[in-house]
Amino acid sequence: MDDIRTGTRGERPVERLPSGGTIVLVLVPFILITVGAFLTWIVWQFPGTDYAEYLPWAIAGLSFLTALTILGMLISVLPPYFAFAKDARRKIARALAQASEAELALRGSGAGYWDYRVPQGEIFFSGHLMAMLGYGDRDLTEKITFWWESVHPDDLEGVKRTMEYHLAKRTPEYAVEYRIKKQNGEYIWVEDRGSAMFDGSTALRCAGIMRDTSNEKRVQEVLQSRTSELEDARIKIEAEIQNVKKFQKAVDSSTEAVAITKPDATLIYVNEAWTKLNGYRAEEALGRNPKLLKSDKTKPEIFGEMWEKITAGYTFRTEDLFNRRKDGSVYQAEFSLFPISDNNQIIFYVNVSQDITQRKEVDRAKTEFVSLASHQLRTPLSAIRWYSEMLLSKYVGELNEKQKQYVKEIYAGNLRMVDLVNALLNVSRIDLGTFAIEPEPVNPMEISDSVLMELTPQITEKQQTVTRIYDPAVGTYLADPKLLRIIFQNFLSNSVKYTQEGGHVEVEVSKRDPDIYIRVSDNGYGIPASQHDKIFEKLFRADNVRQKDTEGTGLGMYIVKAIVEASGGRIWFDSEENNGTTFHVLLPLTGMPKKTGQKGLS
Amino acid sequence: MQEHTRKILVLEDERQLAKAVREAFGERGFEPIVVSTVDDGIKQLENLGKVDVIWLDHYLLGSGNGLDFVVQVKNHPEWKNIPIFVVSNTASTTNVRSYLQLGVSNYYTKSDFDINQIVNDIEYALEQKTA
Repeated sequence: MDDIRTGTRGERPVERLPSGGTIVLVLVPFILITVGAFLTWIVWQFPGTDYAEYLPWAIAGLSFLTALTILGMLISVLPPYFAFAKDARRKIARALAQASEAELALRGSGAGYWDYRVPQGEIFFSGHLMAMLGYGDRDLTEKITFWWESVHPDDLEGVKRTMEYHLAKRTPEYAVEYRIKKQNGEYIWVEDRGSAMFDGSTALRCAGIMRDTSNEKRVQEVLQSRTSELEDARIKIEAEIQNVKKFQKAVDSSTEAVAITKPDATLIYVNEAWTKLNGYRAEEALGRNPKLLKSDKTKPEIFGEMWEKITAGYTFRTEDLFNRRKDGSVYQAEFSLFPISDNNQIIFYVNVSQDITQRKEVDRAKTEFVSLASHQLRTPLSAIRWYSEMLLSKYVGELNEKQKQYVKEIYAGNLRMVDLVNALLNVSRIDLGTFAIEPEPVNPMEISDSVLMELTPQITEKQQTVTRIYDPAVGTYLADPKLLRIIFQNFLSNSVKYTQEGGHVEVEVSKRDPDIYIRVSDNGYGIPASQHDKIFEKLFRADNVRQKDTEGTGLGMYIVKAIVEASGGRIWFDSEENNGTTFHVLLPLTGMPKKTGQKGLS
Repeated sequence: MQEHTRKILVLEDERQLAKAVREAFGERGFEPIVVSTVDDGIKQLENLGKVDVIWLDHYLLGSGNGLDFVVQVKNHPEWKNIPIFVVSNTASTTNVRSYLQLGVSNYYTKSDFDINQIVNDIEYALEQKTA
C-alpha cells in the first residue's frame, strides 16, 4: 500500500538507525579480518617454532576472545535495536491505518487515485478510479496511452499541456478539468489534480486524484441556462414594459377616441380624444356604461347587430351610430368595437370612434354634386357631339372636303372637352376645396349696381322694375369684393330669373348696428313652404322652378350661406309660393375676417 | 322592308338634344314622338296605340323623373314589353343600377356616345325582337 501517499508534497521524516549498531556493524568485519589474519600468521609460523604444541590453544583462545568481544558489542547495541524495531512496527501500523483512512476518504469523496510513473511511461489507476470509469473495481497499470486515449479528443491537447507544464515545474500543481471516456464510450466531466515528485529537475512520478464532476457540471449548466433564461426574461419584460408604455402613449394621444370596457361594459379607460369628442371628463365616464352616449337617432337594430358580432369574437364596425354628447348635441360616429380575448375568454372590449358628421355631409353633397354637375356639363357637350356627327353623316347633304374637315375638328375638340369634363368630375369627387377670404375696403352699393348692370338684358326682356334703397351711412365696408359680389349676384339673378314678366325686384343696403343689412325682395314665384328648410342645402332646387327651367345649379344659395357664415354674418329668408321671396343678410360692420385657404371663389 | 313605320317615343327635356334625336331617327325611317315630361310620355303611350321603342332621359321637366316613368311602363300590361333605352348624362351609379333592375334594355351616357351608335343599337335590338 505504499502507493498511497497522503502527503505527496514535502519530505517525509525518516527515522535514523541507532548509532551504536552502526559502529558494531562497521567494527565487526574489521575485528574478524584482523583476528583472521593473526590466526593465519600463527598457523603459518607456529609449526616450525618451539611453541608448536600451543597452536590449538592459541587458536581456541583467540577465537574465544573474538567471540566474547563481538558478543559484548552486540549485547551493548541490541536494546536500542529492539526499541527501533518496535517503533518501526508501530509506525507502519499507523501508516497503514492512515492509508486506509485516506482511501476511504477518497472513496467517500468519489475521487479515484492515479499515479503516473513518468520514466516508465506507465499509469496506475486505482480500482475506484477504474470503477468510476465503468471498468470494475480493479487496480490497473497500463501504458500512459491508455489515459490519453480515454481523454476526449477536444480536451486532450489541454490535458497534455497541463501535465507537461507541471512536469517541467512551470506550474506548482497539475489541475485540469476535462472529459474522459467511460468503458461504454460515454464521456464524463472530471476534475483532475495532481502533483509530481522530482529527482532534481527530472520528474519521477506524478500522482493525483480524479473526481467525477458530471453532475456538478450538469447542475452548473442547468443553473447557467436558468440564469440566462431569467436574464432573457428580464430583458424581455423590460422591453415589454417599454412597448406597453409606447402603446399607452400612442393610445393616450391618439386623435381617435379610444375607450376600453370590461366584459360587463363598464368603462375602464377613455383617452383624451374620447373626452374631447363626448364632453365627459374621464372621471365622469369611468365606471359607467357607454350607454350614456346613446341617442334616439341610432336605429335600435344596430345594437343587436353589435352585440351579436362582439360576443362571437368579431370586430363590429358601423358608420351609422349617433352619439349624444354631454351637452346634448348629437354626432354621427364611425365606430368600431372589438373584443380582446385571453385564453378564449373576453377580457375587455376596445372601442375606437370618431365624429364623421361632417364627412358624411360632405360625402352626400359630393355625390349629389357629381350627379348634377355631370348632367349640367355634359348636356351641351352632347349637343355639339351629336350635331357635328349628324353634319358628317349624309342626312343633310354631303359637305365639301373643307367643311367636312372643319366639322371633324369641332367633333374632335368636343371629344377632348368630354374627356376633360369627365376628368374634372373625377377630381371634384376627390377634392374638397376650402375657400379664402381676402378683405379690402369696398362699396357694397357699387357692387350691387354692377350686378344689376349685368342683368339689364334679362330685366329689360322681362320688363321688370328694380328699386334700390341704399343708405349712404354704409359707405365703404371691409369685405372680399368677389364674395360680396357672389352674394348680390345670386340674390339678384335669382329674383330676376324666378320672377314673372312685369315683376318687381327690390334691393336694400343699410346700416343696422352693429351690422350692415342687405335685402333683396321680389314678387315672383316664391318657394314652396314644404321646401323652405332645404333652400340652403347644396344642389337643392325648388320643385316649382325646376319644372320651369332646366338651368341652375342649386349651388348658389349654398355658396351664399357659406360666405355669410364664414364672414360671421347671418342669412335668412321669407317666401310664399306665387307671392315672392325676400332674402336678408346681416354682416358685421367690423368686416369679413381674413381667412387663408387654397382657393378663392369666383 | 318594314310594313309599318316604327314609332319611337322620345322623353328628352333639352330642346337641342331633343331636336337632334328627332332628326336622327327621322333620317333612319322612324317616326319620333318627342315629349319632355313623364306625364306627356304616358299620355302619348295611351294615345298612340303601338310604340316600338322608348328613348328616355333621366331628368325631365315637370314632376317625376325617368325612373318614375319606367315604373309606370313596366307595370302596364300592354307597355311592359316595349324596349326602353335610357340615355342620360346622370352618372349616378345607383340610378343606373335601378334602371337595369327595372328591366330597361340599355343605359347610355349621352356625351360618351355618338347618336348613330345609339340608333344602330336600337335598330339592332328591334330586328332581334321581330326575328
